[in-house]
Amino acid sequence: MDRRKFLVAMSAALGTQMIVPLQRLIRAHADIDPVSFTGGADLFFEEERAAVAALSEIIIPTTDTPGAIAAGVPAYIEFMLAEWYDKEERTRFLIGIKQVVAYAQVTEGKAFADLDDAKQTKIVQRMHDGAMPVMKHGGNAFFEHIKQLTLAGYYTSEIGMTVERIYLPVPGRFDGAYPYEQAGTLFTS
Amino acid sequence: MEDAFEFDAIVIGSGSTGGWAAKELTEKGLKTLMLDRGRMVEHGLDYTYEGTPVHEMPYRGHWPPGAQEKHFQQWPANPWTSHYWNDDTRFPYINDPDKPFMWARSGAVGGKSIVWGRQTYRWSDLDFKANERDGHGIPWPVGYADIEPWYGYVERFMGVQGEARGLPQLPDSEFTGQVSLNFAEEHFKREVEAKLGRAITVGRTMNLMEDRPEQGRGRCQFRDQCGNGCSYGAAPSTQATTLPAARKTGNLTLRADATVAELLYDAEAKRVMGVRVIDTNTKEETIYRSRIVFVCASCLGTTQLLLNSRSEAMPRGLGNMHDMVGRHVMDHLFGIGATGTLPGHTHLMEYGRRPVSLYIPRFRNIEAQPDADADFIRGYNYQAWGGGRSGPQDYSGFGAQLKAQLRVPGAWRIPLHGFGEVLPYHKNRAFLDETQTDDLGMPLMRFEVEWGENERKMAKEIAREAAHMLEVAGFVDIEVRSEVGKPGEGIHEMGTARMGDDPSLSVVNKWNQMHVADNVFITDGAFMTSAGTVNPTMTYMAFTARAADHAVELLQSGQL
Repeated sequence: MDRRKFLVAMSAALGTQMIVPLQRLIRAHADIDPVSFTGGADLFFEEERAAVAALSEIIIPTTDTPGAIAAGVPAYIEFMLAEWYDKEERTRFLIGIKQVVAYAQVTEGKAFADLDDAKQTKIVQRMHDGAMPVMKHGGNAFFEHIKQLTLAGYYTSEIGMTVERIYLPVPGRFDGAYPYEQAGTLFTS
Repeated sequence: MEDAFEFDAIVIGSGSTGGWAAKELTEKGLKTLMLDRGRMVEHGLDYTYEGTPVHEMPYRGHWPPGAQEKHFQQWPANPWTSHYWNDDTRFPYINDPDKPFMWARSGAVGGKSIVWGRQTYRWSDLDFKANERDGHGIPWPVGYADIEPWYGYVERFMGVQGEARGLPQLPDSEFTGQVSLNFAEEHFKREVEAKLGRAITVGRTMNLMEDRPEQGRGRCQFRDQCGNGCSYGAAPSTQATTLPAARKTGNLTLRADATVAELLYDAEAKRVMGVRVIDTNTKEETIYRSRIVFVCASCLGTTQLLLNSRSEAMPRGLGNMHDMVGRHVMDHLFGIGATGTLPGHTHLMEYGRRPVSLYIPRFRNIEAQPDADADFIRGYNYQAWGGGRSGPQDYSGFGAQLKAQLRVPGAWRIPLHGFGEVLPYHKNRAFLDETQTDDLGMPLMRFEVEWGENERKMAKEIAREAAHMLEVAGFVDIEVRSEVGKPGEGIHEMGTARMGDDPSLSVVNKWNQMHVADNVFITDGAFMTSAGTVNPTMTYMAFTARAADHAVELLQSGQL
């Protein structure tokens, strides 16, 4: 992208609304695969990475279908934060995860990812309720942030699209009164 | 003399009308050159993201960093379709913040025929006589009887699905199959037809509902991939329909990346002798000569080309002695309507993804002009895309419970989207900037387009009536959208080189032939003398086929 040429074109096109990507820090590297998320930048420290994975699995756990970890949500979150987020959004998330990691260390003497399910769930519940000390909005803002990233990552993953929901690329017909119980979930395309 | 021409015909543009011009002219034996400023897109091969699910898309279907900049003026573009749209960094237009205008512009062979909405309706004499009756604009020199056989001709080749209803304001097409309504739409239809006496039907579209091996096309698979490129050929792109037919004749030469910068006019001969082409990539210039030229560059592309074709005889642009080129910009009122929820019936959902949904034909100002209780003239209709069961609604909490909640779709919804007729105002214009040019040196387009009092009053009623019908049909939680979209947002731009008998008030005659150049035919939306109420593309196609037939007659009888 010839940025100078683009800005010339923009200034010619008076009044065109500035679009979101313009405000975004562009960090795309040649070696990153934006489908598999391999080769991306290391954004997290190891303990943070493990905490993000554990948090995503608490939000979308393994049930009768695979959960967030199996669906690759942790890598999705790290990739989107590193490559797609703007700096301010990214910083907000990083502060949040550092606070969760620190809270686990201080209160339990352990890494968040090493806590048992019940203890992890209790911390997530406190953030959900906005009852965490130190964290902004009692942790609720960070909870909503990682929850949205987890949902976005899970339901756009292969597992989310094809196992949790029914992938129907070529329906071949239309039925406008199809019994829901036969699907029991949503169709994806 | 004949040897001076490389081609019998040049077709500028390869969208819905360019494709039809190329098909008709080549089938009638003319050696034809079709030019498109955009990149080559071959049927199937270049539908890069057709059928690509979000988990296989780069960035999960978000724009890759920096990618959207290239299309910063193309709001309909998305990562699945971006390669079909204009490169706005090289070819922007000037958008005045005080009078915004939205110009959706193709950047590919096939034009907008790949990405369009495919809704297809015949005009009636209610439309063709509208200007004459209420005195706005100038009269159409043609009526329904002139175009009726050409509608049928286009419909049989393309394949139009829909339901025959025998409505005088919306003549039936020759239908091939019919898409069905969903549960909520059937409910709405029963209630509104019974209680208000308004006809409700399924939207009519050019989506093929039968296999046609002889055309290399298969029937619609209900995938919802129309705009990403449909390699079944069920969606009606140039690539799937008219281009193979034109190529089959052996008479077609297609050049992509070929921007026509100028029509070269010979005032003495009253003809265009050729076209000046700039290679979109190398910027190399070529002049091609032909006996006839079909201008199918899309309404505003055609406007830019005509205005840039300045000669000693016509310093303000070809055919623009009377300041008619670029005037009377029209679109359809867009963005107004209402969405409602049908309570209950959550044991049912949709299977498959239709290419169209419910349609409410015009019911206003049909008998009287206007109806006694209407404070505006002309009419409107509604489409209803985006309905069905909505997405899951309960995003609360986390864990297994949240996962279970997200397996449950939301309620049945019907969004009604009004499309209203706008009047042809002389003050509404598209014109060239005097100093700024694009990457190929073409002057940038500017726009001054604003709707008037009639449109404002109509828009109010469109919103009110949408809500009223939903209420009558028992829908709840009705959200009304009463703010009219920006001009251009309907992507039904038309009227800038209108048809008429009087050369001082119009640009083309009743055969789409330029008053000032007998061998030039303008058949994209630019020729539209009024906007009508319905989606316009099939009308452009029918006029294109008719004009091609006439042009060949003139050539054969030695009049051209």
